[in-house]
Amino acid sequence: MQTTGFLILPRAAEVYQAQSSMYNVSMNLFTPFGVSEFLPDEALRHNKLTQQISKYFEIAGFSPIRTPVVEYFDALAPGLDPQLVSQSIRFFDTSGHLMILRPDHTTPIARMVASRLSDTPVPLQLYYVAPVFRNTTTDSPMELFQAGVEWIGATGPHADAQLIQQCVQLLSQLGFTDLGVDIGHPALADGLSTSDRDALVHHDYVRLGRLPERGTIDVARHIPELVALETELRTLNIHETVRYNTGLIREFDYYTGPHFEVYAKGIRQMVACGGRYDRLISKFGYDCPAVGFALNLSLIQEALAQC
Amino acid sequence: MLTIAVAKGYLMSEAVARFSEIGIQFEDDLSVSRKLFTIDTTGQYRILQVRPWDVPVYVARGAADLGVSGFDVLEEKHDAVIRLLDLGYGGCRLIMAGEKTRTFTGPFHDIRVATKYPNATSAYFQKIGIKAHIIKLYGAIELAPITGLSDVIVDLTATGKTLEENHLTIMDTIFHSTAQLITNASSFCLKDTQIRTLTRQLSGLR
Repeated sequence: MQTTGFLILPRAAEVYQAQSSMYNVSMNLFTPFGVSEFLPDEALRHNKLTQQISKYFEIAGFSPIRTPVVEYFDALAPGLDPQLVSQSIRFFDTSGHLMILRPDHTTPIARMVASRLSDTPVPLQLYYVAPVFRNTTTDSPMELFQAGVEWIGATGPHADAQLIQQCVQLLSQLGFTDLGVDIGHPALADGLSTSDRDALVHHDYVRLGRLPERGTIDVARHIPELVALETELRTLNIHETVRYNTGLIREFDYYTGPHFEVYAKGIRQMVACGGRYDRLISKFGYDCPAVGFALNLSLIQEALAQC
Repeated sequence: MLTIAVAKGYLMSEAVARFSEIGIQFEDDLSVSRKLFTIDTTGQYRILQVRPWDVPVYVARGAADLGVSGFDVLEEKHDAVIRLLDLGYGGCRLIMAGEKTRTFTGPFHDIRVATKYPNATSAYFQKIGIKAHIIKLYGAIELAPITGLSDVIVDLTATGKTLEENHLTIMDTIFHSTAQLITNASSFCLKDTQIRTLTRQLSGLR
C-alpha cells in the first residue's frame, strides 16, 4: 500500500488544528527528528530488505552478531575516532557512568571480539543489520540503519578484493548496478606536507593547488598493496568497476590498508564504505587484523521506496 | 546532465560569461527573467539561480552537481563540499571595522561584534585571543556601531565605499574571498570525467 500525499495532507491539517486548540496542555505527539518509525507497509519493506541482505551474508559464510545499543563510553573509547566521538550521543546513567549510544558497529564488534572471542580460531566472519545513533545534523539522521560484515583475522589482498566484490554484488542484487567504487589507501598521504595533507582530507583542492588523480591502477602504482589488490580484483574480474582515487585519505588513521567508498547513480550520498583496519582490535587488547564494510541501509531503503 | 547552482547577482553574470567563453550558452538570461533555472543549448548543463547562502546546501545534498559559491560562504557554513577551483572573480574581503571617531587601541575583551558571519568571526577572535560577544544580524551591519548596538562589525566589503559613507574605518582584514567552484563526493565519483573536463576548461580562462 502506497501512502500518498493526498491522503496525508487533510489528516495533517486536522491534527495540526487539534494540537493548536490543545496548545495549553502542550501535548506533543512528534518523535525526534531523524529517528525511524515504520507503519506496517514500511516495516514490511524494511524486514524484506534486511532478510534479503542477511541471507546474502549467510550464504557468503558470515554469522550474525549483536552488539548493545547502549555501552559504557570508557569501554568503547579506545577504538573510537575523535570525529565519531563528537558525533555520538552520550549521557549519564543514574550512577553517574558516562554512557554512549552505539555510534558505529565496527568498534563494539572489535571490543566484543577482543573480550569474548580472542580464544576462538580465526578467521571469524561476522555480519550485522542494525541501526547506529549519532547526533542529528541537517545532513544526517539520528538513527541510521547499517548492514555490514567484519572479517576478523583475514589478511592479504585476496580478502580485501573479495569483500569489495561482495559489496558490489550485494548492491547489484538490491538493484543498484550503476556504481562508482573508489579505492584509497593511507599511504597515499605519505610524503605530503602537513598543509597538503590537511587540504586533502578536507577536500580543499583549491588550497592543494590541483585535483587529486583518479583512474586505473596507473595512478597508484607506487603503492604495492594497491598493485597487489588490483591483481586480485582482475582475477575476480571486477577491476573495471573500481577506480583508484589518490585523494581518498582519512583524517584519522582508522584504516591501515586499502579502503573503499561506493556511490550509486540516483543516490546522493555514499551508499557503502569499508576497508582494512588491522590495528583497531589491538586497541582493545587483542592483536588481530580485520577487514569489513558497511552499507547505508537507510539511504538504500529510501532509494528503493522511490523506485 | 550537470546541474550547477550559482549565487544570484554578480556571481551569476560572471559565471554565465565564463561558460559562454568555453562555448556553453544558456537559453534564458536569468538576470532579466523570473525563471530560476535554465538549460544550455546542448542540453548538457542546467544552471540554478539560488541565494548565495544556499549554494553549498544544494551541492552538499546532491541537488546540484556543481556550485559557484563565495569563499566567505564556504568558510562560514562548513557544508560537506569538495572545493575544485578558485574562479578568481567576485573578489572581496571579510574585515573588522569600527567608527572613525572612536579610537581603539586594539580589540578588547568582551567586545561586542555585529556580523552576518558568526562562525568566521568567532574563529577570528579565538585566533587573536580576544573574548568577543557576537551579535548576529542579517543585513545593514554598518548601522550597529553607529546606533551603539555593537562596538565593531565584521563584514564583507569589495570597495569599502559603504563603510566610508557610514563613517567606519577598516581595523583588520580577516580573509580575502573569491568565487570557488564546488562539487559533492557522489557527483565527483559518478560524473568524474565531465566535472574534471569542465574544471579544466574554466581554469584555462584564468
